[in-house]
Amino acid sequence: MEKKKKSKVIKEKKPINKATLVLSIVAGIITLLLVASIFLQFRTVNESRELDIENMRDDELRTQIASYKSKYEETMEQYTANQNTINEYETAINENKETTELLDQEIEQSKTLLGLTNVKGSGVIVTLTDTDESLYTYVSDDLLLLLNELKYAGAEAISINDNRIINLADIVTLNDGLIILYGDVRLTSPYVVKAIGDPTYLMSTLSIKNSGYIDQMKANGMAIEVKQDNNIEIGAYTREIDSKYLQEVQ
Amino acid sequence: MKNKSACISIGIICVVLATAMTIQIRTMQKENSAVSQAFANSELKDSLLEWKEKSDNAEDNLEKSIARLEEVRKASTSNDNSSAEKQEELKKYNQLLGITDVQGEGIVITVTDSAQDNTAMDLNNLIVHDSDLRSLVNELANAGAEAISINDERIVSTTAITCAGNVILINGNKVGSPFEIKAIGNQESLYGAITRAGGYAYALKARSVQVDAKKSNNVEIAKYTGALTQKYMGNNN
Repeated sequence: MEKKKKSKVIKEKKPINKATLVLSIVAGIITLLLVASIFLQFRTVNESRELDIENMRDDELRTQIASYKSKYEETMEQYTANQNTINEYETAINENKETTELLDQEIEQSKTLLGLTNVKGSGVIVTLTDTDESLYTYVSDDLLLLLNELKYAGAEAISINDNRIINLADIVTLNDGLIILYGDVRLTSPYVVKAIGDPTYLMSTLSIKNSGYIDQMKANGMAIEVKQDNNIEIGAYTREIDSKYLQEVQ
Repeated sequence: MKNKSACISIGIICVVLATAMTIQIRTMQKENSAVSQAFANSELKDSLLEWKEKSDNAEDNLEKSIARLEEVRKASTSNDNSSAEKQEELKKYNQLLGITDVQGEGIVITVTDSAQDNTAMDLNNLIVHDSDLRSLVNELANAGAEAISINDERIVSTTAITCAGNVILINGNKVGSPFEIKAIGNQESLYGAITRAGGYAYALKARSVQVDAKKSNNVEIAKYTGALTQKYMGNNN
């Protein structure tokens, strides 16, 4: 590009001719456009490198787009809810009103999200049964995978055999084959897993051909039954959630 | 010829631009053999970048609204004892939910894809999979972890750890090796769970995946930046 500038300068020393002037202006504009486009191109390449989307296949890109879309929607929803609460607090402050009620509402909301309240709603019920025809018996990994699939499909509340599953719930299989939840709750077949969320989305995620949970289990000869239900009730987690080591960051 | 100098300058420009473009295309080809495919799905990529930006902006706004909410909450209850107690309760719940930053004793584990370049070994065994991360989270939870994050993605009640093609997604965000797993809880029992013979980390090491665990008196775990919503469940008292 420097070369171009130099030649322009040299040119201008000569007596200016109209045609030459037009030509160099046109050339200048073209150059500008091309430089800009190359610059843009370089930037796009850099940006895509940042996300490492260069090596992604179409289906991966679509999955990522869908995931960002739903994240955007959920975030906006929460943002709007927060703004409403902020407004309510501000009104209460301005009018010198009690805010205990507002605080109670916030506490109730957090407790619900933690799993400390009874909830109901639409969703799916998955029943896993050990049968004589099964190639093996269900183990904790099968349950953990199912929880992960349900969460991926947007489940808001989950229980296994009427035990509410909270964040960081642990399920292990002991050497003798026993499946233990929360370190001391024994789970036995049939494993009835209830999940509240969008029933269609939950169902379709589990039903994806071949790689979906249902087909994966069936490929192993396991018995699995899934049905949608518009009135699922899930009980609260009734114990204390440990928080001996958690401290606030100042 | 009056136009001679103009012609020459245009000629030079063309040569320079052609060279630049050739270099650019050759660089891209070297970088990515699937370059033709990259052009084919550029629309999808634009769309992805656009949604990522939108989602990132929304998260920034959410963060600001959370800070503001804390401010007005504090301001509204500054002279009220029962409210102060309730605020503490709410704070505790929000720590457990994962929507506030927390700190405490615990461990930091670094899990890295195997450095081995041994083609005789199954490549699948050498890399860290989404199922490996789920198993480690389960093991730490079993050892009493109260908060966990992987590459700063906080594990919350709605967190799924999945793979899409060759990338691992946590909370919908891409993470890659090395994985830094932080856990707050009793550091002895957490460390024990990761180092015990027969544990999951032990099995990972047998696959020559690198697992490095360090106890710490102060692990800081960042909050979940997404939203926790309640669209389908209602209270059932």
